[in-house]
Amino acid sequence: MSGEQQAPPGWYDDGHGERRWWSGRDWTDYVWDAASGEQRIRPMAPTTEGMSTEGGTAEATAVADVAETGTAAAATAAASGSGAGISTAAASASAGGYWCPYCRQTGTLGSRGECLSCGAHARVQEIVSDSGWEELPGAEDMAHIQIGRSSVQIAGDYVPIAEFSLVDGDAIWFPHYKLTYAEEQVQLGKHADGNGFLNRVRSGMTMTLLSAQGPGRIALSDNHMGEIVALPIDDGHGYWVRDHVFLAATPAVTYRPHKNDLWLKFRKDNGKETEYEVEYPLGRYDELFHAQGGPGLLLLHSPGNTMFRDLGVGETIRIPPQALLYRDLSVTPYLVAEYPSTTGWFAWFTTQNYENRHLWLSLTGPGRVAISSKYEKEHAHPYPIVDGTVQFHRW
Amino acid sequence: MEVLVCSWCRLNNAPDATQCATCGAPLDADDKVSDSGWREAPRLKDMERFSFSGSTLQVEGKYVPVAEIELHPNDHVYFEQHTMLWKDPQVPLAQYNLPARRRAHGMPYSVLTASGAGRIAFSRDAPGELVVMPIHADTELDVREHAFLLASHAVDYTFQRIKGLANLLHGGSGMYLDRFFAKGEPGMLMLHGNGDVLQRTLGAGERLLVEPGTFLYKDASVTMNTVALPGIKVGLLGGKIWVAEMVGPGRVGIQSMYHHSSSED
Repeated sequence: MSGEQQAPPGWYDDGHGERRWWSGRDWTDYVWDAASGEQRIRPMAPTTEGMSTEGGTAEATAVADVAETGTAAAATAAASGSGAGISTAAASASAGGYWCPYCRQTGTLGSRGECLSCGAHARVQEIVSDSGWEELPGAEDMAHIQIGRSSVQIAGDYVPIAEFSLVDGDAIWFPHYKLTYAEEQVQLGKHADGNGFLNRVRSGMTMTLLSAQGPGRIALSDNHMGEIVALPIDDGHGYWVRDHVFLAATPAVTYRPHKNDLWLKFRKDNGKETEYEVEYPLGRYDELFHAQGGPGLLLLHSPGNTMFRDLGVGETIRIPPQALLYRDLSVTPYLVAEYPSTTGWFAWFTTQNYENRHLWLSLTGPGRVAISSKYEKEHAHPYPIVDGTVQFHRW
Repeated sequence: MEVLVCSWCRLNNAPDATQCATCGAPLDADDKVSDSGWREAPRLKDMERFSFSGSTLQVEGKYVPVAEIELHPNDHVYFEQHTMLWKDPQVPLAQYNLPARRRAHGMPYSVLTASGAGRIAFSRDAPGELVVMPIHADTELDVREHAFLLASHAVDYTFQRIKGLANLLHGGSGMYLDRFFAKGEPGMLMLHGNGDVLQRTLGAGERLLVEPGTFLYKDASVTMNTVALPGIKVGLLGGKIWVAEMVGPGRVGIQSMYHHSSSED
């Protein structure tokens, strides 16, 4: 539908009897179930068609209702397609394959029962908390992840190592300080990502990125207890990722720092003079990773345990800003400052105590958000917020 | 007579054994070896026991494990002072007789000896795993400084001063390597590796580049040299990236959690 005007985000008929959420660019996995009055996750078949203002055009095939079944067997039997986050190539090549709820790819299972796209063991049972957070198991010990003709194997439980086996001509890129070992024949060099020196400094990305080209084996790890999370990215799609958790990526994945517009302005008044300070709780620059020119693989090292949830359209949750590990780009972030209620004669004094304020990152769907249980906890700023992209919530 | 050989320490066990009597490795679990030949050190199960000399060692905990020893009256172990977690009051402590030259070079910690009978426990304050390295008569093992948790009395200790300016400045292993060897009878050495511990055996002349911070131990037959990656300059001043080049034959052990010398990330 190139050349036609794209419809704004909203619920539309996808051409196959489903009311499906259109992101403004792509069909998503979210459909409206009129019978229950709830949103459902229902991936659709791959399509190159878009959504024009004239109406739905996608050649979709409704498949597994993951929200209803939640089992690998059911998903395996029914999954075949893709919406916003499913590889069209993988889906079309493996109808009837295993649809992985963790990486949202359709493919085959490895010899250890692991998803060959992300290394997570095939889900046979949901590990979902009562509130809806699901554990993201990460790539399990000795699991393989296939990257074209090359592969990566995960070794270890506590601080796992990602061991790449690169065939001739295949490459990866990574921060230099993640290197654990390399075989002699692996060609190591500087990775040219197109970002200038200043861009890297401002974005907080490591100054030195290395590339490793096969043939040979090379291994990478971080220095925190945690899990390795593999994110296959379809061509043209991307993720927002927390600073310093990036472990490695294939060449199709590009990194671009993007100015972050989530900020706060504090007034620091010491009685004699007043100063203003601007802070960016998520950093001055966002780390955005996109796949261009083909699908790619992004590996993260998530400190602690990882949990995720798929937000429906308009669904909102609040998390500490530092806990966010990654999110779909369709998720909208915003800052919220929440103040506890105060009563009694001491109330005026407590309202002046800004250290009891809690700063949240509010995330609104549709899309996936993932958090890690280990993150840097910050004390509340003892100064009043006078401006910023923030909503105030007072009890 | 049918025996079950432990794939970690290579010693024989009864055919129905589920755990190696010498090193505690589980015998009823598959070895975890990656495609490239790195083998994960056997994970000692929580509350598992094994014997050395006449004493018994029990492992407690999963993330920051504790080694608890019931010392036989004729046994003693030595250890770095600050790794001692608790002990029975009656367990006597004595200063370990370090090589004089090492003391002269200002060893930054005190090594103590605990003698039986009684209980004593050790741990390091970092998440990781305990690795049992049986030391046979023909074994000489070089270990990164401050990685050894304890050693039995049959294991002797000396040190190797790291030579070469590049090794000292960029090797990330300090000025010394601890060397452990058996005086006569076999002994037991226990290491604490940060994160996960993996071991690979290099053939004669086989080379491997290892991030210096990951190095945990090696056979004395393995040569370690710190080298700069050719053709790569970093930072405004054109600094180099240094790696440890390991040349076989012998075993190399690495730990997956380490402090990178040129990064705080």
